[in-house]
Amino acid sequence: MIEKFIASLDKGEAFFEGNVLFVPIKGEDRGNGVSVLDESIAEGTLEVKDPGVIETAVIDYRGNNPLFVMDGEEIVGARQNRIFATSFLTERVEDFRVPVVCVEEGRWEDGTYFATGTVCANPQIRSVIATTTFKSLKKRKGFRPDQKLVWKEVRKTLDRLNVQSKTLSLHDVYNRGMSLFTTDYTPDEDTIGIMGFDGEGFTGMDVFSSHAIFKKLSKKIIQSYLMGSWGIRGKFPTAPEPLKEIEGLEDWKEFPSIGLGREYRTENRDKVAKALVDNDKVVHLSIFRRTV
Amino acid sequence: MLPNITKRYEILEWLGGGRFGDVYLVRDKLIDRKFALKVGRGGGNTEAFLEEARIISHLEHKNIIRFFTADIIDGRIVIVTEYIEGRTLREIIDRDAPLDPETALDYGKQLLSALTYAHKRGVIHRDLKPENIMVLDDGNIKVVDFGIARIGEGDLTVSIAGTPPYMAREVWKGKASELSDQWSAGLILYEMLTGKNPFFGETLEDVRKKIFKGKIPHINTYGISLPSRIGEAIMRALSPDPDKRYPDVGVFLSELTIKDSVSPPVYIKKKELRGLPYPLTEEQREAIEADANVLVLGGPGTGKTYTLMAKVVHLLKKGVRPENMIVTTFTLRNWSELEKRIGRELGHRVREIILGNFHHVCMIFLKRDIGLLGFGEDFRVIPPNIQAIYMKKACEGTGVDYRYATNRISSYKAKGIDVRMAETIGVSEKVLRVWKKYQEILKNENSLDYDDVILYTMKLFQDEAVTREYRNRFSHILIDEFQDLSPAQISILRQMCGDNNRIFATGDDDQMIYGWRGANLNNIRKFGDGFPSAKVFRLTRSFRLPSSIQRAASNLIRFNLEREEKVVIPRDFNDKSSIIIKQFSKQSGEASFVASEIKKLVKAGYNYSDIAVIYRVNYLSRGLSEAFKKSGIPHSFVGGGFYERKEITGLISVLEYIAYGGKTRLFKALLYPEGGKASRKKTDIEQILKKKEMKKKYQILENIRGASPGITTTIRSVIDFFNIVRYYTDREGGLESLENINEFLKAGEEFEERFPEKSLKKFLEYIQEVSRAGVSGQEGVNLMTVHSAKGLEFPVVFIYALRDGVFPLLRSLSTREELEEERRLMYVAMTRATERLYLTCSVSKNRLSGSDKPSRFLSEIFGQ
Repeated sequence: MIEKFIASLDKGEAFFEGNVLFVPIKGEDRGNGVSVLDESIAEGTLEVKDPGVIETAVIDYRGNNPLFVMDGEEIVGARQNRIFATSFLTERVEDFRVPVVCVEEGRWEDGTYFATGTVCANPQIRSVIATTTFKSLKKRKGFRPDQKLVWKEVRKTLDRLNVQSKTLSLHDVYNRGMSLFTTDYTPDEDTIGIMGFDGEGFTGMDVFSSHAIFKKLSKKIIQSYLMGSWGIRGKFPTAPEPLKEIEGLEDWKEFPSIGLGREYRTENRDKVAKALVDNDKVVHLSIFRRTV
Repeated sequence: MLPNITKRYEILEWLGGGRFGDVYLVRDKLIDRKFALKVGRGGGNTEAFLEEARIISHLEHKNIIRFFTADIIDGRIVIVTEYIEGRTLREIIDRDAPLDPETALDYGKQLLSALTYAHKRGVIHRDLKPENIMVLDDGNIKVVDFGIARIGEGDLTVSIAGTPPYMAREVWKGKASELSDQWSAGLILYEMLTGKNPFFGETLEDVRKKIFKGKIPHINTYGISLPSRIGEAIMRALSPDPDKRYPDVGVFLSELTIKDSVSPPVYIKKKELRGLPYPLTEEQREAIEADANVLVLGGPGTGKTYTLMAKVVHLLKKGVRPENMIVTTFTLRNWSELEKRIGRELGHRVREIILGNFHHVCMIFLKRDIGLLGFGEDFRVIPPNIQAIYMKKACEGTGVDYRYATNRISSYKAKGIDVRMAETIGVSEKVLRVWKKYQEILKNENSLDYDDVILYTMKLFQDEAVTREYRNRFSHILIDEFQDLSPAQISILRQMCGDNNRIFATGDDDQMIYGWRGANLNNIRKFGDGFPSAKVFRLTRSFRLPSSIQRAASNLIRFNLEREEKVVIPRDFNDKSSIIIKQFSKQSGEASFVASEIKKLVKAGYNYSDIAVIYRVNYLSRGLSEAFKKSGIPHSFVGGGFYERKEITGLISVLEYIAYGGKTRLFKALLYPEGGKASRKKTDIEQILKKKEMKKKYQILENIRGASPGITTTIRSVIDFFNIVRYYTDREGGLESLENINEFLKAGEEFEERFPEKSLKKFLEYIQEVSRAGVSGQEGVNLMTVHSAKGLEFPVVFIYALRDGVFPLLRSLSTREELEEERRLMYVAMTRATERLYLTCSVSKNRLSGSDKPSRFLSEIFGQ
């Protein structure tokens, strides 16, 4: 099913921001109304709490629409900043425990409630999480990404962008450099996702079941791709056949998701991919260049 | 979005980005020419920009980047300028600062010339900084982004690169002018000459406060060879009050011309010795120009390595070919420093010089000629862990401990004794038997150990033909840190030096700290015996040591009996350097003092990375690390932290099994303290548990797990039941391991005292946090042992735990030679400081040294 979905995608007119070439991805819009993290927190229909365990967050959701949260979206405050370890879809729920990953190694304070960070982790960090989570899922250990590797990747990011952070917080990169990761891109109606390329080649892709979801998350995603590639030089990327990058991904393995639907994951030597599927619809497909 | 840009321009490369926008290297498809294209970020006042662009488009000066045109495409400001191949001044400063005064002043004058021109036409730069100055290969500079700063108005953030604004005080208040450009230019000059931006801060607020305070060290206190008048000129341009600066940059420019100097520096013409950042003293020049075998002796900071590097440059200028030279250094840091500096002179041809540490040089010889010794060309050099495996095998059935054998054999090899010679000099029969078997294993594996690299090179040179060939090839051999060579290494050098070869060596017998590796004071004393017609030159002027520290260090080292007396003239007789001595009743108090003092120093303007804390043995780093973590002081270990020591990681893995269980942890725990590769396979674990000893260990571990005692009791139980004390007592270096384990036990006791309710798991998490805090990857305080400090220098140095029995070590007190080596270590430690030196001690009784007295060295530095 995932392969069929991939085959149905088409590319839009490429554009560049900074040193990243973006290729909009077009496809069938199969969306219903779905709320995302930032708007739900702003509306007061979503509360995210810290139960005092690094790898878990607890959510209470009272909205009318299903809630979609993308892996890598950041929540800040509480004991330490985190990002969600996997994408999930849920309806109204209380005390729902979801896997998260710490991106602020140097802080552990008192605090219960999270706010939205309004940003998301760069593709390299999401790639590490996807690869190591896949490993733990295959061993039936559940959603257990490698926290140490994530911290290492955060430190690498801080070093690459030369950002001093007292608490080794990924969010400090955005605090310092938000003006560098700007875009005025507005997706066309038939655009449901985006792909990024930098001087080292394909960096990642995020595609959704509907234009509406992509539109809500596009700014965050583009910022994260810009941040992830900042400073990477080399020949300016071109992508004459971008969709070829995502061909040949097969042998998808099925796992239970943490919310509605099922998860599918696969990897090859260069890429790691995952998809959240609900009611035969690919809600979110992400593919990243492997970093581990 | 910008799709329309690509209709006209092919984007070749992204060159960088900043607050205003991104810069690309593009090819104009119409005229097939390369340009730099700057694309704004959207927003901003386009009308103001266009007005400014009209003014800038008329600027034509050789030091200002040429502006071709501007446009608005897809709603974004686009500026087309000439494309310059070169480096930014930022890259040059980061890599090479402090720059030599002549180069720095040359760049400064070109910058001021560009500013004079622009100011006369009513154009202010507003955003002068090293990132906006390009340096071309021919030494010319080009200033970029004139007037652009006003266009990209946005929030005033520190750019993502962390570069602080080079903005005068009045600009923060919105009043940019020609005088503020002058201030920025002054700051750039200051940074080029000193290597420091005195206003650097971690946050924008820090930077702003420092600039508003305005107080910075006078440039003339850095000891740069610069006429004081020029230093004064730079400081005037940096006056916080604009009215106190020069009336215009033209006057500032004229002040930078060198006329009368107070102490004339020895300037070398640019074309003669381009690779040297500093001028030479007369002493250095004399040593370099001598056509003889030369030994250059000098105390700390007298520029011995620099002299060696200058000798290389001098030889190249005389026409000696790079491939006819060998240059050896002691540390990797010196190696890369030399390569960089010589590279400036030679470019890629620096690779033709055989440059590296002694092992590296010998490997080059062996790779060519090891066939003569019966080895295959694809030989390998085994690392210590493989050496341990082979040595264990060789010791089987002999009753000899493999570590003991390794150390004994290594010390013989360092003296140039091979296994055949060993038979004739009374080496113990058991050791000899092991040695023979070990060499046989190596031969069968076509392998050498590290000591063999030197030994076999020595053997190569016993072949006359080989000696003749290398003597013909290498006319000059330059050796740094000559005092630390082993007898085998010196033997190689003697073989290589015939009548037509020259050796140029630098050294300081007072800094010989590798006696335990075979180095000998006679290296220096008997230099002339090995190298005929040798001349000795002395460097007396220290560029690093301030007077108080130099005096104290000299007082100390004079207590060593057999040494070459040296004159060392300090950097500055009137310096404000200081030595602070503090004594505490508890080590925790000592560590807390170091932490709080560091905080004060940082508030006073030092960076964390300007500070080093040096200690004699590794276990002492634990208390420091914890005090720093409590105070939020970033720090890193040179040479590995306390919790990375093998005996500690092994102990932690046992505790991890006790806390968490698990097959792999069990395997690791069973292998403690010997160590080895753990397996997760059930069959491997079952196999290992068949051994009686392992079964017993397993039982002990399960008992401890079942009983769940407190943290301290658990650690003590492991130490007792695993017979750790006995294991380490008889081993080489075992005493240090026991000290570390003791310190670890203390860490457990302290944790339990502070958090009586917390479990072993919490203790292990806590250790992880402390360990991580020490390897944060951030710029932080440098923690290191004395041996790791060699060759380094810091404005501020703390020497910690100066207690008799610790520094000097208890075991060194039994012989004069060992005590003198400890004294040399103290001398090396003290002479790492360029501004301030702290000497601290605590006099509570140390369990192992038993001493409660401050180190005798503290009295000796006063000559008592």
